[in-house]
Amino acid sequence: MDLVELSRLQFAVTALYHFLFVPLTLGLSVLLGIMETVYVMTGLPIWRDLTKFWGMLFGINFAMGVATGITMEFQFGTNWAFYSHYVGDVFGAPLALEGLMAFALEAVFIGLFFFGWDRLSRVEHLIATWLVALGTNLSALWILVANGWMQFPTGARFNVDTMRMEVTDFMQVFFNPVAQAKFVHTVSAGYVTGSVFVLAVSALYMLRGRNVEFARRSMTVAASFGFASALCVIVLGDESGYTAGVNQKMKIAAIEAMWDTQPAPASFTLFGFPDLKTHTTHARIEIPWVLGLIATRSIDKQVPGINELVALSAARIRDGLIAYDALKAFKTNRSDPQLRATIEAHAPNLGYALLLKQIRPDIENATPADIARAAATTIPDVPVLFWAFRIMVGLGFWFVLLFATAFWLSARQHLHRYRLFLIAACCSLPLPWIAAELGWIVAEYGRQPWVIEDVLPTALGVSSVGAGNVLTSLIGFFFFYTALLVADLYLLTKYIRLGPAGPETARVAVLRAAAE
Amino acid sequence: MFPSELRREIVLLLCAKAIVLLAIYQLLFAPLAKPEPDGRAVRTHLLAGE
Amino acid sequence: MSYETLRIIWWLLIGVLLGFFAVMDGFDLGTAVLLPFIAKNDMERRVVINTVGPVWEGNQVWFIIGGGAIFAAWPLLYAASFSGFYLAMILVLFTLILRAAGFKFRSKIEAQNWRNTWDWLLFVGGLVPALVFGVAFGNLFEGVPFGFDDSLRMQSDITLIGLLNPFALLVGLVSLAMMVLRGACWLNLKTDEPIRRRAQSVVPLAALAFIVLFALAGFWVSQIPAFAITSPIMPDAQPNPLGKTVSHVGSWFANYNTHAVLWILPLLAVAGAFCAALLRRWPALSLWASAAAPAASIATAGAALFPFLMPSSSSPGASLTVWDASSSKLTLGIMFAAAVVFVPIIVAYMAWAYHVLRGPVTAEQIERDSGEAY
Repeated sequence: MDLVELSRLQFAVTALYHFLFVPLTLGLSVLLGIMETVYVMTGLPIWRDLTKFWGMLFGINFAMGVATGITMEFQFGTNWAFYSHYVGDVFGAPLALEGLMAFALEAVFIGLFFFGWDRLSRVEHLIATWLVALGTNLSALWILVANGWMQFPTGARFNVDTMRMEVTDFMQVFFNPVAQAKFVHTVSAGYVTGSVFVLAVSALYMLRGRNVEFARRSMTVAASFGFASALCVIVLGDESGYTAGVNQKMKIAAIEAMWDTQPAPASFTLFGFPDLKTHTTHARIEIPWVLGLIATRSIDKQVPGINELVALSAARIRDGLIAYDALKAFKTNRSDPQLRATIEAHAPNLGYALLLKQIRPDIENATPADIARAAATTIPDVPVLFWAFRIMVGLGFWFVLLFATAFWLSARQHLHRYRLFLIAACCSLPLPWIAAELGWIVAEYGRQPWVIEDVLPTALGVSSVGAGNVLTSLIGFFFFYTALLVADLYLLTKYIRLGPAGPETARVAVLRAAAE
Repeated sequence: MFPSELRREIVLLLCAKAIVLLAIYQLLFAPLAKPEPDGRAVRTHLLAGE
Repeated sequence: MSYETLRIIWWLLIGVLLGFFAVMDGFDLGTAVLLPFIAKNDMERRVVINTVGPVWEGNQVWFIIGGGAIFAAWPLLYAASFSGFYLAMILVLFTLILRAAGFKFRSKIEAQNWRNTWDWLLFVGGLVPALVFGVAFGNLFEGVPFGFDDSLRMQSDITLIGLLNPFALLVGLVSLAMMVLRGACWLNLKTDEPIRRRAQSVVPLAALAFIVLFALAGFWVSQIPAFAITSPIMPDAQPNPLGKTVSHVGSWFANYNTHAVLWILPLLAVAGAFCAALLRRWPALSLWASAAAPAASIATAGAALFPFLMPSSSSPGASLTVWDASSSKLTLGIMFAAAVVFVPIIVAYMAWAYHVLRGPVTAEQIERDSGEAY
């Protein structure tokens, strides 16, 4: 494997690993806030035990999320140095704001959450808990502003003097429609994850007949919060689909395996086997109209197909080459206003010309066949996206069904009666993680070959470090992260088995049993 | 070092992780996953309009 | 505000953020380094860990904020330093993760060999970052081998072995000594007998080690050829590090010779360590005094290096300076506004958190809230 592939693989596995912890942190932090609010309002000690028990599981997870999050901030610099230089003027700002507004808040108040029970009044402690929840959610906001800009780089332009992208309008970066939709979609997915976690663990207690009162209350909170969140995920997933339909047409076309532009409104392919080689989808089952409605919210606008978009890419590559040639001349003759004007006029397509770098180093001599091949590389991996998206959406609807049932049962105080429901809830435990990881695969793998859509091809973003160094760190991550995962899961299952009877009581009970 | 039940769980976990990583690699990174467009496909689909 | 002013403000701000990191995270890195030596049994070790338990995450945030601010304000510096120091950075990263896991995992399982293992891993998690941050600063004085092509893609010949040269290791030891000093002062304030007595006896030793190593490093720096910009300086120009010329002769004390007032900075660092030792029977005063050691050390190094951020030994003209490695004026302005609003807010709630958590940590407290304590 070469440097680019190793760097991508390392980023992919560390990001997917990091996101095992993030959604649970997002969801549980808010659930803790809700539980403690009930405690402060009613004064019933069981709600404090609830907060403390889920809080302990939250703490183990939170530490892993923070620790693996540092990797993400480091890696832009260590492994994607050219990327960091090329877009740091835009991309660095939300990351710094994330530190200033979010990380500090959650990191300081998580300390008070755990160590402040006896030192703070009830209301003060409640405020600390909610500030942790606020911090985690703000952190998601800023990182998704940054990520949204990678998907839809608005409010910035190429500066020929500094050879990089620079901000022209911060408001456009912050209020990027892609980022807004992504933010709500992602945090709702986190809330669903937290709710499924609480629901599944509580269902396990009910099935075993342990901690039933405790489990019933936990499930009631999880059911209502999870139901609202699951609906939110679907609605904002649709919004994400719409913004992608406007700004990332290739991603939508790839997800839908829509090779050729259809007459509006396009039909939705429910099932099929997309074939990258022949640009066809075998064994299709289609639902008329649906895709056109989702992607354009109209019945008369067309959704462009992959082949049409590739032809468009070829045209943009040719236009970008004009900017590239002018830029080359500009490097030796920096005072020529004519060259400067040419570069500025064609700079929006400069990134497309850079796609040729993977085909040949001297891209100014590209032949029409080279350009066609480069244009073809703008097609993402259609079969993977097609299936990842469908599994994610299917799981999304399953969560709505699960929580609707839970909500209805809890409203009727019947939660403990239906074993089948409890078993289904238990078995759903891993599903939100699968959905969330697939969501990132759709978002980021679907953006390939770009690291910044239309601006910078992924392969050009890497650092100038030896592939051996990256291989070393990748192997290090593999062993280190595996060891951490073993320890983390061991502790989580240990404390789930011990149960919420007050961790201290349970600990004493275990010690006593061991002594006898 | 570990009790046998725990050892079994750890081994299962390691296997699961190996499978997941292999799947990620095979699906997203292996050269086979995304075939290079061949010359004929490029001509029929991309250069048709030219 | 002019571009030049914003650049100087951001140079100062990065110094302030790194200073906060060295002052705040310094004591919990130092505490982790002292952990296996200063605490003799499991309960004592839990006491030591729980002094930093509620605050280490907040302290570490200064490092994350510092990194983010360098990314936003000095993207070329962020790219060049993080990728140039690749394996060193990965090492720091692993040890920081180890530290986070160690705090959380250590006391969750009773087994003694589990806990002993984590105690030593926490020690490593304090030692390695403390050393490597110093080593990185040391290398800045010597220059590191890197350059850029005409697309500003970095080329570097930096190796881990090259970074670990004698002078850089000496600066690493300076950094380690000041963090151990901070850790000892912290434990002096936050624990009871017998740990306090041991911590108190470490304070003068660490202070002495810091002062001697700091003076030694200062002397060594005077023997290292400094970098200087020889082409006309354009503080308002578009940031591009190519197109200047830089010499590699002269003295790193040039700024001190032109502005004699700067000598206050190294004196402050030494005086801080000295007072920390002198005032060790008044732990709070001693802790405050010891903060001057890391804060003024960073200021001392920064003032000597100015305007250089990361000099290049292999192609000095490509060195990154305050004038040619910054973000655009707009980004610097917006981020300055954000820092002016949020840094005081963070300091305020952090101070409140420390106020809530005031007083020494005792074994009885840990027994009482063993559900939450580390």
